[in-house]
Amino acid sequence: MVDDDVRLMLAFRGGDDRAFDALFERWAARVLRFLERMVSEAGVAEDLVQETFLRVWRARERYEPGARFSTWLFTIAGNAARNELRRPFRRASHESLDDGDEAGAPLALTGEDPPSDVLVDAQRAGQGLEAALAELPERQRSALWLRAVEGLSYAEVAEALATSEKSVKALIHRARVTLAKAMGCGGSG
Amino acid sequence: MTELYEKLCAFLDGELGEGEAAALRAELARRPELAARLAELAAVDAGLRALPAGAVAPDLRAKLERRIRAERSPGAARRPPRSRAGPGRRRRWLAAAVLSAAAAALALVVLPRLQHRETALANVEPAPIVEPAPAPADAAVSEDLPVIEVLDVLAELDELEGVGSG
Repeated sequence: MVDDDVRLMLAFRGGDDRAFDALFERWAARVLRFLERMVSEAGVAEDLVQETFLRVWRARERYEPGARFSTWLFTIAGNAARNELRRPFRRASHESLDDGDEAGAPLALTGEDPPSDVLVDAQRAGQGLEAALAELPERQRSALWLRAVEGLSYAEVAEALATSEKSVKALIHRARVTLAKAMGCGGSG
Repeated sequence: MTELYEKLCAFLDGELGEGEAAALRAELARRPELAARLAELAAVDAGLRALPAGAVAPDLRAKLERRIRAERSPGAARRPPRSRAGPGRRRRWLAAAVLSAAAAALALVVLPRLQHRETALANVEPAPIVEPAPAPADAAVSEDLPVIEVLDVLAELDELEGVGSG
């Protein structure tokens, strides 16, 4: 079944500029929200939203509906963010561009520190969570955000990050464990 | 252990097959500490979804439209195609160009003047003072040109510096 966004993109490919407007209306805020977490600077994130939709506009004639529109869109946005993060003058503030070994060393779950409060208030912990999210390696951050917030499947996240589902599973797990610790949970792994 | 907790994540994400999911559900019922871990992981997702979203600036669509229009209109100023050379190579090339232009400026502007000075010093008798004839326009241009080129290249270098650090 073709989703509404794919239908709009096909209409845009066919020359209907209003379809592009509709896609922008539907997705700009979510792309901005994603990019804000990727680059941690609102102004840069806004520029990257423009860049993302400009790339969509440029790619309209080559567009083929092979995946969900959101997967395609976040792939473009993620690439734009990675290009930005790779700029040499940014690297100091975003040190972890890659995760090295994606699976990495296992984070120990000892069970020695039971969660002090499992029903932690997500709103109250928001600030700490935001900071911890910014500290995550870029691929962990992207993978978890696309899965947990945007609802992409592991296969779709893998496509967006040009990696395997197995890697995505490890990236998401490690990201969640790190953030759980930051939120004051016991720190499982 | 890690494998078990990766499985918890996959369970949370609805990525386990029905058989594995059923087995894990049974294990969760038996092991409250495992259920607590699952709740922690779920709390992370809830926290992420609750993070504030920045508002899209009202003029963002208009800015995008301007960029689209610039690409659309024939003859619109487009960026020159990016060189395959990396910034380092481009910078070295520019530095070489600056040096070449500076050398050319030196050769065309400074050396003839030095030669003229040496000739004048060699003359024992002072030359009669003559109003210099106005230099032909071409000569002025040819003397200034290398300097202008140097300035242009320096400006380009500055611009690149600005882009790199922006």
